[in-house]
Amino acid sequence: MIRPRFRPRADWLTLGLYGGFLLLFFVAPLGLLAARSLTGADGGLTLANYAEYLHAPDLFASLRNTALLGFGTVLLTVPLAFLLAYGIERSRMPLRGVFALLGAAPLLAPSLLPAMALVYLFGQQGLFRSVMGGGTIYGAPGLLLAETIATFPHALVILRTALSAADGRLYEQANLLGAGRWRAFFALTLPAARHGIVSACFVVFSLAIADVGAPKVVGGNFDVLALDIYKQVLGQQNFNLGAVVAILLLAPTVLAVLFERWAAKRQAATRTARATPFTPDGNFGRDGTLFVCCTTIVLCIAGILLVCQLAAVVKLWPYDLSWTLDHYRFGDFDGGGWDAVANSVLLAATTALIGTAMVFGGAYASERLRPLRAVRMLYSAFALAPAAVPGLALGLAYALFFNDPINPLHVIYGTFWVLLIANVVHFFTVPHLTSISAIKALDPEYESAAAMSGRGVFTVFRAVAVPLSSAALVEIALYLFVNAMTTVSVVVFLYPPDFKLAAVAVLNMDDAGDAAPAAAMGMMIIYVNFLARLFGAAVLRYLRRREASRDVPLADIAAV
Amino acid sequence: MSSTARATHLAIEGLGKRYGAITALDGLTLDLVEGEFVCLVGPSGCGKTTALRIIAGLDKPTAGRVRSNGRDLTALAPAERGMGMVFQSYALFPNMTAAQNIAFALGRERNAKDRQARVSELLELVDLSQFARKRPNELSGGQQQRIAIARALAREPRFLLLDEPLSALDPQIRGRLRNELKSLQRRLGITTLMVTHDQAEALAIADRIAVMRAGRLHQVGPPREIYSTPVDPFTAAFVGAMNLLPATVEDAQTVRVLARLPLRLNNELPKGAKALAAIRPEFVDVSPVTGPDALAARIADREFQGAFVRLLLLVDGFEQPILADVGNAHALAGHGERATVRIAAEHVRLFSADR
Repeated sequence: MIRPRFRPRADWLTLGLYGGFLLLFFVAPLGLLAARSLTGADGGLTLANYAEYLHAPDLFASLRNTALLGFGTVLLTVPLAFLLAYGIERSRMPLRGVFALLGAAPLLAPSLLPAMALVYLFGQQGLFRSVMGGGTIYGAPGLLLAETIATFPHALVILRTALSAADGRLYEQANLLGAGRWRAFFALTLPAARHGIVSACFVVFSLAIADVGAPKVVGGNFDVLALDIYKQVLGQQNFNLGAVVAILLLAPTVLAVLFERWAAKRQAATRTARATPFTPDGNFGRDGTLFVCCTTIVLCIAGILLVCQLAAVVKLWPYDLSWTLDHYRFGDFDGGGWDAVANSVLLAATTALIGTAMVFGGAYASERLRPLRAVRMLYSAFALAPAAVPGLALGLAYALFFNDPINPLHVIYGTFWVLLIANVVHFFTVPHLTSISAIKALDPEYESAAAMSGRGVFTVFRAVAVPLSSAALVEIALYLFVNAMTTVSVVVFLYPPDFKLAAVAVLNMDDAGDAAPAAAMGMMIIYVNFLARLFGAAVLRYLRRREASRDVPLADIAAV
Repeated sequence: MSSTARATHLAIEGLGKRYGAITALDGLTLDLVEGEFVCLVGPSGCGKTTALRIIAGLDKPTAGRVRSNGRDLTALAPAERGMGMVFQSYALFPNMTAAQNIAFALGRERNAKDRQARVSELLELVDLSQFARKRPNELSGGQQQRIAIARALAREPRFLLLDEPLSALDPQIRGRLRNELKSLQRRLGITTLMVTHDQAEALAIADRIAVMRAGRLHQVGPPREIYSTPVDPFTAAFVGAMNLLPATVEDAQTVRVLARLPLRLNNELPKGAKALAAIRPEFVDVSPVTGPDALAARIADREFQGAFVRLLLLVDGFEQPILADVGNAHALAGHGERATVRIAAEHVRLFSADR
């Protein structure tokens, strides 16, 4: 029998598929978005939309407010996150694990939730409205605080990574040279973390200006670009003008991502393989001060979440505090009912599964199948680009692209599939970077060793790369799940009437004045995400235990 | 072993590799006869690993061919060439046991029972039967290397390719494993090509050595021949320690070393040409006694090497020290400031300095 000699060129096959996918679901929709921003009412090419928007009196205010919001959030979030990160990584204060957990908690919630909590606390019917004096929480102060809480965990993750990579030898040396603690802090700690700090600043900035949830809830008259897009599209049905604002919002986020990538690369380059781990010594004064500061920070965060949970289970916050589960009858409100939660879980789980497979497969192909250098660089550029596109801009681009009846892909418009693809594309970048670093940790000769034995790259991928990267894969899946559960911006223009989503339901119920059920559903999202994290941790523990077990029967060779 | 009597087993013909403007490998031609152990040696970046990967089929050459017994292998996939390879990192899969790593190479062609039997056989061959269920991180460096060899041998290759197989090991055990490797190769009689940057290792292990530099082959021959009759200053200096002393050609029979010492050396270089006189440190004759046929030198430093002492001698007016190895019992081995240096013409090889 002659065995077929067909051997698929794995590199071109895979990268071709990915190239096609990215062209179709990223480049083409964004291209159309740009084109639509330049399309006049008569269908001709024109700059009239930009002129119209630029002449509108509110625009300048929107631009200024967006910039204020971005910079203000950075100024508030990054120092606070640095303080907590420093306490966790560089001190011996008690409860560091609890602080780390609570500091990251807002990651599990839609960005709306902190904003809603602020309204509960300081709004017209807020618990502490007297604190506001004659002022109102709606507008700049509330928005700034809401974004600070929402972006805090993102900065915390980056800064913890930057601070955890300390080289113990440098501190020993500084100690020998007689440098004091402050001297060591300014001469060693800050410079080593500076790229991480810069990176955190840009991430916080672009998250804050691209968010639509918090401005919708607590923004008041403080218009920002993201909310302008939302209003133009859903309020005025003016897609072309929405496209104009989306393009305007794109410019700063693209810049921010470029700078962030530069800083993150420099930060990674400061790590040397020969570094010895740094163990902080106990210091009562320092640890005590840090403990007080960090406790204040996490109590604020925990308090915010607690307020939402409390408001969800009382009759009428804050007047009638008797206990009730009425607000959990989501069916009674205009949000989508419990189905919305189920839909979100389904979407998030699918995004996690398909997204993880796609991102890791693509990263593997680009790193390990030795494609042309140009192909690899192009892939890497495409994989990094989604981070620069605000969810609203991508969502609007998809709405324009797939809603066009001429488009053969019109069939997926208004279906689950377009939501799935939008989520995978929007959250592509971070999992891509995680995949790349997991793959770079693999021995570069695995594929060669397999090739010598006539085993193809698919076998190496399945039997070696995937098992060895299982921790990274679980982390990626969790990231995708949590983000797909919480995002509003990507899906708000795309979800069909018969497939409502939990995060959007929070927005809509709050908008309709049903604040308590909105808070209840927001908390549901947190709990689902928390369960997902627990599940992920259990999977990791199981994998580690299986890895450690030595009792592999010899018969197992049949499996490889 | 008389190599010439046997037929060429693997023929490497004019192998070249270019990356754009960079030439990594330039016309490598080398024949291996059945059962011999050839070392490809050279400084890092000389193209030796590139050559090995092309021979294995892991990279495509931009010129030349690889043939075996008249059959052209150049276009064949790595697994179709009858070659086994051990990688510098060993590339063992950390998630698999030693047995699974070996079984991986057997592919799916055989049934489970055959595979099992073959794996046991290979583990026995490298004397690691009791480690079958260990994962690589539970094995020592030497054991990992043997598993990698067993995996490379799994498909009964006719050629074994080794890419710096000893460089990842501690110096203390490197010598022992070098001997084990050599004896395993002898026992199996498998034609072997090994890449190494360590010339001492190559001298100790190889039947023949191929010296490479900057993508080109400089010299091929048995270790003794490479050591005693290097064809150019590079090979002379790369393999073993070597003094390369500036010299001037006086006539067809005479050269003057270090502008002073006349030596009777037959040569074909033009009169007045600049040359390099190469002499091994062990052939440099040093004594405390002065004489007319000798260079006066100061002993700048002594390096105790265990079995001998290496003297660093500075001849007046020259910055480059002359190395001389003397026995521990030598008069100058322990003390003394001044020495005279004599060079015997029969131990000197002369190279043109123009190249």
